[in-house]
Amino acid sequence: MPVRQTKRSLEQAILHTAIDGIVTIDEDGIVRTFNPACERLFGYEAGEIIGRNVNMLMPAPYREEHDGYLRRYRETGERRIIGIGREVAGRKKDGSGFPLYLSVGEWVDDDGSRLFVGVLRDITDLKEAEERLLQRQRALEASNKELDGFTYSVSHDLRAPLRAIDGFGRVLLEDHAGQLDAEGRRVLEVIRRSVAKMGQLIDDLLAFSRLGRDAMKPSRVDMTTLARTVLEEITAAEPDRAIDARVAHLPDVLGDPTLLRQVWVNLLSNAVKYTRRRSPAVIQVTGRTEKTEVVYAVRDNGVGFDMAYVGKLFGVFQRLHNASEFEGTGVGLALVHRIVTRHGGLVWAEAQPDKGATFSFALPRKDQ
Amino acid sequence: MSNFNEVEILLVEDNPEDAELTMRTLRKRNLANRLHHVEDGAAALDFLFGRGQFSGRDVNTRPKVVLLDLKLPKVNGLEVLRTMKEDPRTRNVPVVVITSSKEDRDLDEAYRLGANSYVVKPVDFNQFSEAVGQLGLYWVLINEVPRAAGS
Repeated sequence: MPVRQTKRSLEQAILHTAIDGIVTIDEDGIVRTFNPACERLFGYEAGEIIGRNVNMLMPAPYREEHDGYLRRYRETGERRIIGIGREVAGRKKDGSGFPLYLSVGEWVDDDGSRLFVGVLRDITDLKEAEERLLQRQRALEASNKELDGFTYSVSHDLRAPLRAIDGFGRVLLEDHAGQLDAEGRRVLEVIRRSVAKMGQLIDDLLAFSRLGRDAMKPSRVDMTTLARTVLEEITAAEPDRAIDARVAHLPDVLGDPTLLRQVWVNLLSNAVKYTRRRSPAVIQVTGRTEKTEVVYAVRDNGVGFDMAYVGKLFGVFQRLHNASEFEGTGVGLALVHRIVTRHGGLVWAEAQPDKGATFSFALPRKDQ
Repeated sequence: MSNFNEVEILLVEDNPEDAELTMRTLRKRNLANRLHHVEDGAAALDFLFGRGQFSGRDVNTRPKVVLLDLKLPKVNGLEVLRTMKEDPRTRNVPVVVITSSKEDRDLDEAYRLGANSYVVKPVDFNQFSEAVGQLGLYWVLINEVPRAAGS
């Protein structure tokens, strides 16, 4: 029968060329076939295995369990692997163990005897990669925890001495004013101002580090109302200045409202701050919807900056202006960058010295 | 002060500078006459339960308020708070947590354990003395507490 022969040789071809190990056993666990991939996997030649119990390919304690498992399956039909597949341990001829993925199929031969076909794949590399990943994850978790403890002590321990410096400076002013001349009082004021600045730095740094830790709580955000509210709060604190500020209608976005508020606070207070020498200061907030993102822009007519330094703009503690010109700790735009990035967005800036600046950020559109 | 039974404010603070500034502020407002200062959580519990160096103290005369720092040697502030709120003799003593920590987990935990108030010590001394003065005024002069323990 040529057809039968062709089928037979096709089966042989599959068995011989398969990259996965293929082993056939009978109901008693006796090995009937053992393909070349199995020989490579276990280091046995087919002749050494065929006719012997398959459990010699398993390390203890699986070896003992296997006989019981086969018997139970014969008696109760309880399946623990057939048609399911799972990770098991294999034992090579040299006694060494290795992880493998085993899937088992059941098959009744022409003579009515039941056979089990196992397909085996060596997953040593996979397990090693998994283990490396797990170790990396543990290391990351540990360093995250360390960072957590670090910011905690920054919050706690760095504030206390600052409070003492400020407080005792004040005591000196209150209780010993008679012994201090004008210069002495000025020096004390410098000390207290520096303390206030350091206190602000610590607070900003904490706010920045908290951003990386707190979980985001996304919801649909009405950006028009948010930007207008923030802008009103900021301009209300500058009643003596002429500020022409306009917020156009902005597209909504899906994001964390508290964090996005922080973005507007920083961008808009920067716009107000860096237009201090303009009268009127002109601040325009616009937004547009693109194919995959929504883009917002804050344009001002302030002092701007040299594009040569744009790379430093969003770094922590980076400043492009002297503290005597414009106060600040250099954390605001780093915060903006971190928030926008956490939302999967981008932030950028364009400016010219003395010709104003435009800060833009794009957030992914998630309409549904 | 020497008569521990008349203490109105128990200040639990390990940082000597913070303690001095707190007491100075309260003194300026005439609120520090009946204040006792302990430097760790174990001493605070000894005071409250009349144990150890405070063994003569009557547990039923309770301070009007405990000003409690969180980061303390020996027994930390949250542990002191937990112990106080679990014991019927001290459950009704108001506890004001006054700490440097703005961390949410400390805030949440303090309120969960029954803190009556939570104040973050500002770095700025003017704000600090304003805060301490106000809470001293409120808890010592304005707030009323039940007379006897467990009542």
